[in-house]
Amino acid sequence: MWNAGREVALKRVRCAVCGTEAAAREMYGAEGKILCTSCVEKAGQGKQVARLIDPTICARCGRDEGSHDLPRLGRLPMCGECTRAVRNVPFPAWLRFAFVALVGIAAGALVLNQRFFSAYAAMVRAGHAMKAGRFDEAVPLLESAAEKVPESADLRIEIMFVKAIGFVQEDRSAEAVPLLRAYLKTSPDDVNAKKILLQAEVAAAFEARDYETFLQKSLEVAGQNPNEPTAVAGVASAYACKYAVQGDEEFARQARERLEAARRLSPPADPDFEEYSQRIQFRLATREIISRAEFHRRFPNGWQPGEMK
Amino acid sequence: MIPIPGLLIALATFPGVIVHEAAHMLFCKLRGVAIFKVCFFRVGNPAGYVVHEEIEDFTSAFLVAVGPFIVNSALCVLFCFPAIIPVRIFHHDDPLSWFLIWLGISIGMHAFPSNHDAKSLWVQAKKRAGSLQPLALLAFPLVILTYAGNILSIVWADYLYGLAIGFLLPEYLLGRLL
Repeated sequence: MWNAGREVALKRVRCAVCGTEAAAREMYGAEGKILCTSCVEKAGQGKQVARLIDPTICARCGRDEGSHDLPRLGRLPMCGECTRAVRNVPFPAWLRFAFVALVGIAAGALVLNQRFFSAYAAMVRAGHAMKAGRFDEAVPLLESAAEKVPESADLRIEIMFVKAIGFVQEDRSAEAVPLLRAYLKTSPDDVNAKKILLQAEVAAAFEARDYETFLQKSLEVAGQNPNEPTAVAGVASAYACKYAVQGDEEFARQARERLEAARRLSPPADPDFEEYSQRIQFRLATREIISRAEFHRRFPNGWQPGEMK
Repeated sequence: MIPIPGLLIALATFPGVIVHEAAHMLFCKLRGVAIFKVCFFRVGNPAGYVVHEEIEDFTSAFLVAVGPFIVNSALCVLFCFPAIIPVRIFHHDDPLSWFLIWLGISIGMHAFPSNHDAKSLWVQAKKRAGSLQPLALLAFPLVILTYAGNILSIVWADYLYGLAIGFLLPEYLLGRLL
């Protein structure tokens, strides 16, 4: 640290210990005693030591102004040239060079990594589309991201998952099932994907008219969600399909029983549950299995038992 | 958390020390404060320092003290930014990206003003507190935060700060902007 200590007006002073005479700025003050450089270490021990200041000598360059006191910078006498110099200390060349070089490297890296940024931008936009439920929009965005970063395995896997969700949304569950199975091979702990796969397997079995698998998978869904009315109604739907195909009254009884259990779990007058219930009851009454879309085409105002086809 | 001697941290993150001192120097120059001596890095305590004239003007004192917080934080983001998406999102491990992350986090880690800076600011702010100067009032919580940050550096608060602004801030901002 730069010590601004006691000042003396004399240019030359004498050491209190050894008597050496020297320029004041080369001497030290130690609690009233003047000490030379050789004596200060021993005699100044334990005392407050500060270098003496000669107001006629520039504290920086040592220029002697004779009897003329120099202007102060803080507490230090300083000549005009040195004052200008300490107020305009330049950054060292190595620092300026290093800074420019590093900023250049960062800029270069930004250019080199540009493909990652555009891929990320596409991923963020895909995320927004998925949040809004527009999976069909999300898939091409993710595919364009994967083209930019072909080495990203995670991205390819994510595309598989998003495509599968899109298929489920479009009632193309059979196409979603293999994608979801492949996705789960790489992400076996994704509970959400497991649930979606099971739902897709249920729907795919229904679409394929494989009512035994439809029943088994529906029972699995209901076993995992015993308090979920649509899950329990799914079992009723599967039994109703079995009844429609085989005409076995036991299946019809099971279907009615499950539908009643689901109704008890459902909030009163829930329109979604009511619609699902009507489709199951229609199947039981007519032994005809039609898709949801077909049901709505035929009965835009809903169906009640006893109503004609 | 493993306590690591400050000297080793300073050695491992020396660009941050250099930028910290350069930031003090920059604000001294911008405010016309005389600089007597600058040490950008040394093996010792403190690892770097700037000796400048005593500052009477509070705005200058404030800016010189908090200069590293502004400059180090900004440079931390600047250097981490080109590497953050490739490394964090795509797990793309290339030496250049990791170099930039090391550089950015090292700089961010040294953003907190030192206790010495905080002490000088505290003394100056106390003198001006009566005048209700907004900058002086802002200095009090800042000094407290600085002390807290420096104390918590034993539990890597400085590293976590670097990580937060170098890693998480760019990703958050990109997510909001896109």
